Formats: sequence, structure tokens, C-alpha cells
Amino acid sequence: MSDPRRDPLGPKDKADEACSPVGSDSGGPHTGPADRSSSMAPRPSAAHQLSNPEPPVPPEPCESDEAIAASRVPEWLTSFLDGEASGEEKTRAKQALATSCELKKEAEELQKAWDLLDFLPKNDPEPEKSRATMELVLSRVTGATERVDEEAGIAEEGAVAGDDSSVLRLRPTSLGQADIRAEWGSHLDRRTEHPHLNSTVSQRTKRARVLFWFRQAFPLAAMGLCGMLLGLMALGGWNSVDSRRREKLQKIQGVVENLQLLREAGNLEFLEAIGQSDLFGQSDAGAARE
Amino acid sequence: MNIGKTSALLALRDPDVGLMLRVREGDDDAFHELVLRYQGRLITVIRHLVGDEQIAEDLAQETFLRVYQSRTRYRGQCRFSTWIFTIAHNLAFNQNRSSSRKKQGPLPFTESGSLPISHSTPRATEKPAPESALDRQELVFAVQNALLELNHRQRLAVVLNKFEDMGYEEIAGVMGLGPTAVKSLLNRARVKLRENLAPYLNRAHSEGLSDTSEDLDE
Repeated sequence: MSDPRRDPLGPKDKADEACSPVGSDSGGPHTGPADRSSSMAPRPSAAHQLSNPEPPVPPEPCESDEAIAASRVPEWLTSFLDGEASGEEKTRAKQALATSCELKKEAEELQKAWDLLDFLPKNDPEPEKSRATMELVLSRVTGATERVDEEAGIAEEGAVAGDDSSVLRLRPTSLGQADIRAEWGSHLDRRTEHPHLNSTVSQRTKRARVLFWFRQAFPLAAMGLCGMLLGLMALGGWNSVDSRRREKLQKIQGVVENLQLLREAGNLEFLEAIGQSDLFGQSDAGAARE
Repeated sequence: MNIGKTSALLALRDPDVGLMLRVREGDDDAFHELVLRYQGRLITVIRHLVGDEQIAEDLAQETFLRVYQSRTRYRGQCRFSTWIFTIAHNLAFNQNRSSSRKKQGPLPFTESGSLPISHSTPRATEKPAPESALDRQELVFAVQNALLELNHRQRLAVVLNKFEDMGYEEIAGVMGLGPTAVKSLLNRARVKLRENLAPYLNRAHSEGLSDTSEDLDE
């Protein structure tokens, strides 16, 4: 075997690589500038390339290290180290490693670096944390449900009838574990103490929006109503004053019309004399006496 | 609610699918069992994706909340671990994206566990790091930071393969890629880890890890 890095798995694996979006960490087909030029421009002949050697197009800076480094380690070696190679592939990989000290050294280094990951800490299951998570999840979910029920007026009806169905709906159906049940009981108590735990973010946002508009609209509506009432009262008051004044004017209309004559009357004796002479008639004299 | 034939078969092979189907039917004890089984694993994976244990715990809780909220839509068509780690991966990805918007990126691990010391792992050219001066703790930090130097997808592929023993197919399911793309990601990740951890490669033997050359010859 002349080149130990040559893919011992044959052309099939290479075809797979060419078809798949490998080389793209973004998950989609990703081609660098060199790839794009090779796929879109006509490929020059071998003679032309030899006579006019063009400088290679440098890869993108962000890819350079990775692309160069990756090109040094064949992917079949990775799949062999990951235990993903099939029986035949494994045999071929072993043969390649046995015939090349350089490749074997490389594989050893890759595996050593991989084994160093065993030093990373791992989190073991913790019942306390699990209970806390259960509490949190159920409080947020039941809180949201309860609020919806409250808004629909169900919770109040249930409370009156002693039916706590809106709360019990998401509680355990088979109560096999006493400690969990106790935790859920305490969670319900805590939920009452800390109402902020009761709603999800979206629920809280909706409520906040409603409250905001309510707070904005209510004072304006109240002010408008007050203004209308004041206007009505003022209008009514004006009307009543006007009618009273008109009545008074009607009463003294006779005096006003005869004001000149009454001024000329001068004294009481003159008026009595006029009354006795029956100049204005009996009724007028009586009225004048009054 | 009827359980489909596929999901019933999958539930026989994957007990977690069976538990999740019970959760769908309203059995909260089954959900508690899933939380017990997966919380530690989720925190481990997310922690190595975002580089912060507290954030990882919060995101793990958020993952369970999402699982519970979407329980009625669960059909049991794929492995439960694939589903839950997909949710966790999306949350961690969003977290890293919002962190990078604040120009932070994933937080590197620090000795104190609070404030980051440096983003870069000591490389062979930068720090000759004699073996005698290294204690185990330093080695752990070096490995953590070397992992954080990988990009998000490489890191996810590595963590799922290493800590969850997931094969290419299952990792591909979590990441929404093909198995060949996963192989490529792991290939690059291995190369980069070897570069970043070059000063520490011989440390593995003194810490009692297995002999790699023997493993390769087997």
C-alpha cells in the first residue's frame, strides 16, 4: 500500500461523501470559493494546467485550519475509531494501520485526545433536583390551566361546589408514591404563596397586555363619563333658572306695562280717588288695593 | 387515545417511549420517572454545550417543561432520547446565540466556577506545560476549554457520542443531518481536539486510562 491515507473502503464511501452535505457545519450544502469556481467555470485541460499553473485559491480564513487539518485525517479512520465501521471496513482499516506506522501514530493520538474527554464531569441523577423539576413543571402547567379556568369562571363554581377539578386534573392519577404526593401537595400550597409561579410566560404577557389597556382606558372612560354628567347637570340647571325668571317676568308684566302711569300716580290718596271713581272697574280697584 | 402500531413496537424496544406514551395518557408518575432518568444526562450534555452548570440546570428544566407541554402531540415515532436531546440542543443553541449577541459566546470553565479566566486552551506552541506542573484539576479545565473551542455542532456531536453513546444515525436524528455529515463533524472535532490537547496527550496514561495502541490492535 503506497499511500496509507488512501481510503481503504473503496470508491463507494467516497461517492457517499460527495453526495452528502459534509464539510458544512451549518448543516446545509456549503461550498467555499474554490468549490464554487470549480463547479461553475469550465474545467481546464491537464496540459493547460501544466503550462499555466495557477496559484491555488486560498480557502476562507474561518475554514482554513479546519479544512487543512481534516484533510490530513481520513474519515474512514474516524468511523473506525468511533466503532461505526462495518466488518469489512474494519478489516481493511486494521490492515492499513498495520502497514503504516505514521497512520497508526496518528490514530493513537486521536484516540488519546478522545479519551481525555473522560475527565469531563458527569452529572448523576439527583432525586432532589428531579423533585424540584417536577414541582416547577407542574406548577407552571397547572398554574396556566387554572388561570384559564378562572378567566372562564370555572374555578369559582368549582370552589363553591367543593369540586377542585381544575387543580386535580394534572395531579397524579395513580398515587403510588407518598413522597411525591406530599411534594405535590406542598407545591399547591406554595403556588398560593407565590402567585408568580402560576403562569407561563405567554399567559403573563397576555394578562399584562390586558391590564395595560385596562389601566389606560379606564381613567379616560371615567373622565368622559364625569364630563357628560357635569354637562347634563349644567344644562338642566340653566334651564330651570331660565324658566323661573320667565315666571317672575310674567307676574310683573302688568306693572311694567303701566310703569309710566304708576309713576304719575304720585301718592296714596290719588290712587284711592281713582279707585272710588271706578275708572278701571271693580276688579282693577280690588287688585290695586291688594 | 389509541397507540399506533409503530409506536407500540418502539415502546417495546425503548422503555422510555412507553413511559412517554403513559405521560401522554395523563400519568404523571411516568413523567417523574423520565425526569429521574434523564435530568442528570441532560445537564451533562447541556453543560458541555453552554459551558455553565447553572444555565445547564435551568435549560434542563425548560426541556422537561417543553416535553410536558407537548405530551399530547407525542406520537412515539422515534426514540425518546432523540426527541428530548433535540429539544435540549435547540434550547442550548438559542442560549449560545443570545450569549454571542452579548459578545460572550459559550462560557469557558474556570477553576473557581464563577468568572472566566481565558477563552483559549493552552496549545503546544503557547504553553509547554510540563507534566509535573499539572494536576488533575488543570487537566479537567484544559479538556473543558478544548471542547468549548469546537463549534456548536461539533461539540454537540462529540458530547452525544461520548456521553450518550449515540451512533451516527441517532446523532444525525438529533441534529437534523445525515450520518455522513455527522461522521465529518466528528472527524474535524477529533482533529481539533488533538491539536488543542497536544500538551496533555501523554497525561492520559498516567491518569490510568486505557492503552490506546492495544485498543487499536484488537
